[in-house]
Amino acid sequence: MGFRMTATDHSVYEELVAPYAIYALGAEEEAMMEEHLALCDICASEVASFHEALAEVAPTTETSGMDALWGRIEREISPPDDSADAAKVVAFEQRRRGSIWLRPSSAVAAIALVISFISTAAAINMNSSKQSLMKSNSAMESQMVANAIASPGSKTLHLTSASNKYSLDIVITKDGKAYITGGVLPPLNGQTSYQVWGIRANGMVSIMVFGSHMKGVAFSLPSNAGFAQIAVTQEPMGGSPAPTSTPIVSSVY
Amino acid sequence: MARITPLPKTNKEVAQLSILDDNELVQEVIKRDQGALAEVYRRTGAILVATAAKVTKSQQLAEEVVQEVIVKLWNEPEKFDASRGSLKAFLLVQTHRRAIDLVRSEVARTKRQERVASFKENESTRFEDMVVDQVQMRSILIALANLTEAERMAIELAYFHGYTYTEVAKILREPDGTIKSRIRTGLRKIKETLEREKSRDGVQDDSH
Repeated sequence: MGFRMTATDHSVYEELVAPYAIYALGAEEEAMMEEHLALCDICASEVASFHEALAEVAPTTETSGMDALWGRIEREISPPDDSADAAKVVAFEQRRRGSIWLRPSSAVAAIALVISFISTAAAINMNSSKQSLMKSNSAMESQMVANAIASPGSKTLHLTSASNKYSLDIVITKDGKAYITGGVLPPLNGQTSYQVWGIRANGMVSIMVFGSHMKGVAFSLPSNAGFAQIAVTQEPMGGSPAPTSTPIVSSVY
Repeated sequence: MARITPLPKTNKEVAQLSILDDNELVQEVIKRDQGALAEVYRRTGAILVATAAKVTKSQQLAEEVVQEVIVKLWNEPEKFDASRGSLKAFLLVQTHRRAIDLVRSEVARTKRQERVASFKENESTRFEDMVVDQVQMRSILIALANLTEAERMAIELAYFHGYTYTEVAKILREPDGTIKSRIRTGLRKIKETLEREKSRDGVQDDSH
């Protein structure tokens, strides 16, 4: 039988403040703690201070690949009959901090990877159920892709593996907005993501991270970025600051 | 039909939003300014996604969680109270809780017990693993360096793996009280170290 806390037994609540702050209480203690917090400014203040500290040490990640998520958020908050405007969505512009986008150590890896572009594991086309799921979620994205392809000055990149087993197609508009239009990549294993890299003489730059749902994924690829090649690798979930595997597909940019 | 409020399209408009504090920014969200919500996302999105991804071990689930949290802010912006903390902390708490709810809901009770029993130490994730911002990295490393391995382990198992403190106690074969104490001491160390760092940085800034 669980113990019952009384309002006067403040030390019991004090012990639960920290586990509460990180959501580590069982349901009963959680409910009792919330009742207590509504009445106790001292404990509420300590919970808030723990939350602030956790926010300070929270992990962060490369900001590339966030455009597509913003696109989905934007569509969700837009009125339903606003769909005609969806194709005009302005790609989300990231604030990039130079130090995390280009590391000297990446240059060596980049050169090695460029030289050693090789084909990798067995090809497995995305199955039809995944494709249908992608289609259901990407009506707007398809429209955006269609508009991009039709826009004056756009160009298409066809990234391939050495054996042509894998491929990825990207359309890039004149103003640097890029969309994945399709492709065949080896399946992700649940612990990995695809990561797009721009390769230039002095290093490799992470452009964005994406998952199995690739068609319509939007990102920025400005023509003045100075990339000689574009490549895609498979990296740990969420992406990696530097490539950890050889490219699956690549193309001269 | 036109949008309720068009996204800011000029650098000037973006710059104007970027200088707003949390409360001012949320006031703009209350006015249904999508550009303000985009600014919220710019400030917090990478942290929210990274945290949710570490908890759910899935980029896709993490993005779904963050989408839900940001849309919730759009629908209920008045729930943010600037007097109770920063917007980043507010959104992070919601993201973390939603991510843990997902993890817990996907694991049936019996499987959850099996998960506790079969936990391996190398499953542990560390706060600093995905941190790539070098400025942020410095203060985080200083804060985390003050934790004992036992404190770090207790916090990380609960925070990133979604275990309750009683489950953490079972995993680490320690009494419940010991784990509660480690979590509390660890969080206090992080908080106090960050406060000292901020204070030190403030003194340095003032001296320039």
